[in-house]
Amino acid sequence: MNPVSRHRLSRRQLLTGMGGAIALGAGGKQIADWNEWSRRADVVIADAPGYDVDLESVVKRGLAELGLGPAWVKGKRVLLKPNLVETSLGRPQINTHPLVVRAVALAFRSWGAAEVRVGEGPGHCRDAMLVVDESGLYPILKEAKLPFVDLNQDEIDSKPNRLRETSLRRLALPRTLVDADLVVSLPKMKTHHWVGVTLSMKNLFGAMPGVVYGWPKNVLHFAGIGPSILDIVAAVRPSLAIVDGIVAMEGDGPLMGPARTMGVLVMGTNLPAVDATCTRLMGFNPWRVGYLVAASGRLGPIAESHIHQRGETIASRAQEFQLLDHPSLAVLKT
Amino acid sequence: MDWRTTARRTILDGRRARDGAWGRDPSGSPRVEPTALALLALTRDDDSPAARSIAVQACDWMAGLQNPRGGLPLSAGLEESSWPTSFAILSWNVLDIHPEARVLARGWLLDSGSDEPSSAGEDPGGWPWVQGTFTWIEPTALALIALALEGEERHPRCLEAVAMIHERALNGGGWNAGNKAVFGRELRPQPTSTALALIALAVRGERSIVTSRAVDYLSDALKTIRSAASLGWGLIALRAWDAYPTEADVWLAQAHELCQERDQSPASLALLLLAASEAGTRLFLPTNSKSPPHEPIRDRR
Repeated sequence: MNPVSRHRLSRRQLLTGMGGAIALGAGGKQIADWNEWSRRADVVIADAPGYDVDLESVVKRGLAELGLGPAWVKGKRVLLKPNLVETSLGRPQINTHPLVVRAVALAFRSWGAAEVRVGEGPGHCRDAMLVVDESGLYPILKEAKLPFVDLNQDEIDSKPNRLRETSLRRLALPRTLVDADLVVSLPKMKTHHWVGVTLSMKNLFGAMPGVVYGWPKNVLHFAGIGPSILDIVAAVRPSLAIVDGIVAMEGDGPLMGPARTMGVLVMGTNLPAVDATCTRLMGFNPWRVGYLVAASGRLGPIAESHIHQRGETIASRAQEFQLLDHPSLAVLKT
Repeated sequence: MDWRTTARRTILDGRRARDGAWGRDPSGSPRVEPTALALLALTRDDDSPAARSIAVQACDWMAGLQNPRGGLPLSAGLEESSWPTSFAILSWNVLDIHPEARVLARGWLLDSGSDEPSSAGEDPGGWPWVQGTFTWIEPTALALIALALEGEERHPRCLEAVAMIHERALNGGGWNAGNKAVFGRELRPQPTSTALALIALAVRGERSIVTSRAVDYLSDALKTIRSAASLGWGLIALRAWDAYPTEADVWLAQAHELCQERDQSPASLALLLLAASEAGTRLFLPTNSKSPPHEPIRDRR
């Protein structure tokens, strides 16, 4: 297996040459809109004013709105993939909140899941347990008796890269993820200084094994962040996304930006549709996010008219997120 | 029972009978990094024939993985050589075995690198995790540690790598995984990156404002860290810079207790054992090298 693409990019090119990551014109929208004519998806925006509310009930109600319940979960092996990026003492906007992880785990358990595990392969920090500790997740895992899997270090399985957005022929995946019946992406709602937004699709970067791809999954950065996101989503085929938008991050995301209180959990079984909805909630245009445009039609719909919005409306909950002051990001608001 | 005895026993129990190597956990397939750390921990202050025999078998397993050009993959079944090569060199050097494999591995490491040009179009120095991608602090530090043990610390690539580590030091102390800043904003230090960078710089032993700030950051950060990998590497680094905290024994026992309830990986336990003794730190420094003098490899770029 040779996972390394030979694209020559400097860090500077990656940082400033974001034209590939941020979509360009309205022409692209028309083509993609046409391509996704047969794609429809339901997305729930659930009101969750804080982490101290009964989040398990919020999750269950939201999933019921999507038509999901015990029959969908019973007997399944479930892997929850939160977004745990870096140590973050006192900065709740960086990582998926532990109480969201707990709520989803308890909901799945009460609906009869055979097994619920939590797995993450942090991008920057090789010591996953340090991130688990400093994110505040460990006491929750212990109390709820939830096993944690360091996806960076898990056993490796290899799959053909069926989408081939990148030049990688095969993708190495953690065995825990391959063996799971339901993979649930549990990201944080955040801006991202390279690709605009990081949500349920980009969160799956963290599912890729660092022992193979390096830290922070550097081979995939080399292959192109946007194309890699698409290849990973197509290979992993996640069943569900639940985005922690209770406290989100704006500005210099995904690590350094300030908190923005949104008070929502956003759920859906189609990840591009969930991420497009979140992007609109953040006050951005999903047709300006390169990897969402590339996903349109192939992995799901991103057009507002193709997404059946349930629960809260976008208009009632959208806010104007701040962006890092960089020309390549300003286009997100147009 | 003393936690060290328990940890040692757990490591031995996790060894795979078939090949004498270690995986991420006892049921996992064997890999170079946990095997290297486990064998170093078992032999750090035990020179008995039994301990050596176990370590030699593990080193032989690593030698069997070596590609013809000298690099090692993560584990059997994967072809591409990458960052585990440094751990193999370190192990073979400490046990003073497999001289031919060491020469080949050293050569591969000195020839391998990044495809990343700096803003001035020059090689920025250092090593990537995976051949041909960007350079990062941790693989650079690991390569420097291994190559210094092999007597290559004056090789131009090592000198460039030391300069790269200095250049990427954070103003507030310590190192992030890679860059110093993104979009002009300084990143936060990480304990493991800082620890490995400090161990690599301890080879030269030159104190500077960079090393002092990093030692200060790490000394403060470790007070609240009980995850084994970060604490283990962190304490090894502080000992290498004569800043080993007086409370370290208590911290290590607490970390071991935590390992027992959540992370019995041989690599984590091995790092705690290595951090617990002076001998554990010395393994990473050239003063301990049993490597016979050799002709340094010339820069072939």
